[in-house]
Amino acid sequence: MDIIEVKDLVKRYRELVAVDNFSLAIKPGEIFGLLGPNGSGKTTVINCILQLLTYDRGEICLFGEPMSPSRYDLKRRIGIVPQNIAVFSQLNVAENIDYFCSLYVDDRARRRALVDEAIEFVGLEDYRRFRPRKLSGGLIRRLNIACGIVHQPELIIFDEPTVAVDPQSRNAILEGIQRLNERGSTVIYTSHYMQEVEQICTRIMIMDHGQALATGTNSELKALVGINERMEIELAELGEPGGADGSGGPDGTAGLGGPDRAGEADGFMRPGDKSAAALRLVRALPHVATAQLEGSLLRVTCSAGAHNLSDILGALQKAGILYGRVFSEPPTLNDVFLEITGKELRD
Amino acid sequence: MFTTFLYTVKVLVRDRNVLMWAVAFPLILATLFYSMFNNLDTTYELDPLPVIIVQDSNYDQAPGFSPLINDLAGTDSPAGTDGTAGTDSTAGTNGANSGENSTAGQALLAPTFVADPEAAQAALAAGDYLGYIVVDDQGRPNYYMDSRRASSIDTLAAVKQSIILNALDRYLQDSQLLAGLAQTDPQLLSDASTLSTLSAQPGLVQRGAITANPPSDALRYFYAVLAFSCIMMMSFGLSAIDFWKANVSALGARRSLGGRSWAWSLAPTLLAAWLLSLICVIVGFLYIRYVFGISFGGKEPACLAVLALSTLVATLLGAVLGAMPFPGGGKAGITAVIACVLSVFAGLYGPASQQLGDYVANNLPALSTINPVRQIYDAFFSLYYYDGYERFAQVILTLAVMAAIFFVLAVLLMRKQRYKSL
Repeated sequence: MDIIEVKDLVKRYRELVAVDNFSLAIKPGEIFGLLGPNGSGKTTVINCILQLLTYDRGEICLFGEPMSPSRYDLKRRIGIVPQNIAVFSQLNVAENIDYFCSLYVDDRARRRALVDEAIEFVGLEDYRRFRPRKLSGGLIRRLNIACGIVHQPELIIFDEPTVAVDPQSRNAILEGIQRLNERGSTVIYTSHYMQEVEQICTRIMIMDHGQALATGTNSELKALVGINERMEIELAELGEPGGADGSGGPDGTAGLGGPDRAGEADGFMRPGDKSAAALRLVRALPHVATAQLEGSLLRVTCSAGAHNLSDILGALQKAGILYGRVFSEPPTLNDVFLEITGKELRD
Repeated sequence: MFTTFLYTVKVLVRDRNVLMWAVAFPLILATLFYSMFNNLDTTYELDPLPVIIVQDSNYDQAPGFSPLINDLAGTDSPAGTDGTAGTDSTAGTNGANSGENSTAGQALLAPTFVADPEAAQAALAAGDYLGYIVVDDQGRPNYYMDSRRASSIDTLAAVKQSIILNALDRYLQDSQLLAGLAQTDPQLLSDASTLSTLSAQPGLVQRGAITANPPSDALRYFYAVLAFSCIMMMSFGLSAIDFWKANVSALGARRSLGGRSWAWSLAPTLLAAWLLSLICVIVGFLYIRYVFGISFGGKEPACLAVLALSTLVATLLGAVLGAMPFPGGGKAGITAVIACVLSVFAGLYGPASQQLGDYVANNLPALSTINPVRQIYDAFFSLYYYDGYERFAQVILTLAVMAAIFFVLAVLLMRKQRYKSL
């Protein structure tokens, strides 16, 4: 049984289609990432699932049952950590958490234990009596999370919980989400930060313009773009490549190269000649998908290959080009997004 | 439910803005009004008029004149018993300050006796006297006003002088009557009942009570302040709903996702808002009643009922406003504007406002009926001025209908849990 099942969801704001035939299925125990740029429809989908927003078409089932605004039995099994801070400025940390817990749990003694546990979980033990205005941004985010998870729900929805959070608090939040998942909660995590989604999500859906563009595990999504490795190599003693292939960097080689003078019959190899030759050699390698020179930086993407890096460096040596630092990394979700939409996720 | 109630109370009590409007502002306004209008009724009080009496042989020989002066000076006859001393002028003041209906009289004259007219003129020129009275050789009293004051536009002084002149005229008429009777029918003067009738001096100013308590202009301000305070309790309903509705705040959205029905959480929320409102206005009521001594006609328990119903109306009206689907930032301002505008017709802003309110009440009664501030004001007014409770019951019924309408509206607006947009 899927924890959440959404079929053909459509949500319009007048002429604007905010969610376009969106379907989704999340299995128990997953950390499911909804990744997309701001305005891609992630929060709208969440609000439709939670029945806060009306929708024009579609079916939504939670825990195998149709969801409706009055299904409080289903709502009791869900925790929500909204994007906007939703705590009472007039109540202190413990009171806030207790209030939200009381929306799910009647028994006072049990509530007290749950509140203590939630406070400990998010690391706010020293701030129990603090009101939100005395907490830093990161601590308020933690309080926001504590209010959403205090009743230990089966399904927890985190809607961009790390917006405007410092790196330290961000890491604490991400680790906390993983611990919640380990404790048995299914998690939906929406974000436009691909690194976060890559870091914690077991399955990811990429969204844009209200549509689900691709769904899969991290590696499954990356396999979609057909590249396995991305390399960046700093080159030295390099001029602009010859204009014949048109692939040269526009200005980055100033001081080393200059105009293409390959045609000059002075008997010397010019820097521009070197770069053009290097590009030709690199592009000729069997697993190289793309190779571009941006200034003194050579960017290469490769499909799966056993010796991609050594092959490329060998080609550069053969062309007589010295190189400095070398970076190699697997493809990112940004590459996937770029491949699917033609634009960068961070745009 | 109790937890929701408890935390709603905490949230509202710790909201300084709400407390400012709900508690401090009415108290400040009442204090301000007290300092401004406490002497409103005493302004019209008739203080004894300083006059000079020439006590010469003519004065001594004028029959009955000396007792008249003593009466007017309040030195011989018990004050107020003959009704000559403007007793109604003190009623408003007493009503405003203590609620007691005083019948005590007040001296009209503060006479200073001199031996002859020259001395009177000298005293008049030197002192703070309005005039002097001298009896001529035919036994007729003459009143000479200070020429410097004769042109004065002091209305109250003119009233006092006219009363003195009336008293002197009366004396002359009675003297003429008795003299005529002595000439035409002397035997009649030996009849005890006739003499009794003639000697009885009907009051120059007679007071008639047509209301249960003496009228007072100052009361209107304090009742209006209280009515205004009650309607300002909209802010409690508004604040409570601010964190209740999903389309109003992030807090509301989160609460909407809780595992409780909307009615389950709405009931304690509104109850908390209402009870806090009631406590706040009771504080204001006690302050006005017992610190300033403003009378409510001795019907304080009924006043509490008015306060309870009024704050319920205000809380529900605030809830309705809070549930309206537009951003909450300006709603607090809107509640203040509503309260201030409606208070115009309860006479909160002075005589012009009172006249306008009375005009609307008399000529456009439907508008007054749908104005909760005017109704609350009328409730206090009817308790103070009416003997029975018929008028009060009408007002209470009107307020109850308002509360019911606002409740239905609030429920209709708040039962909606899904929105086209957030």
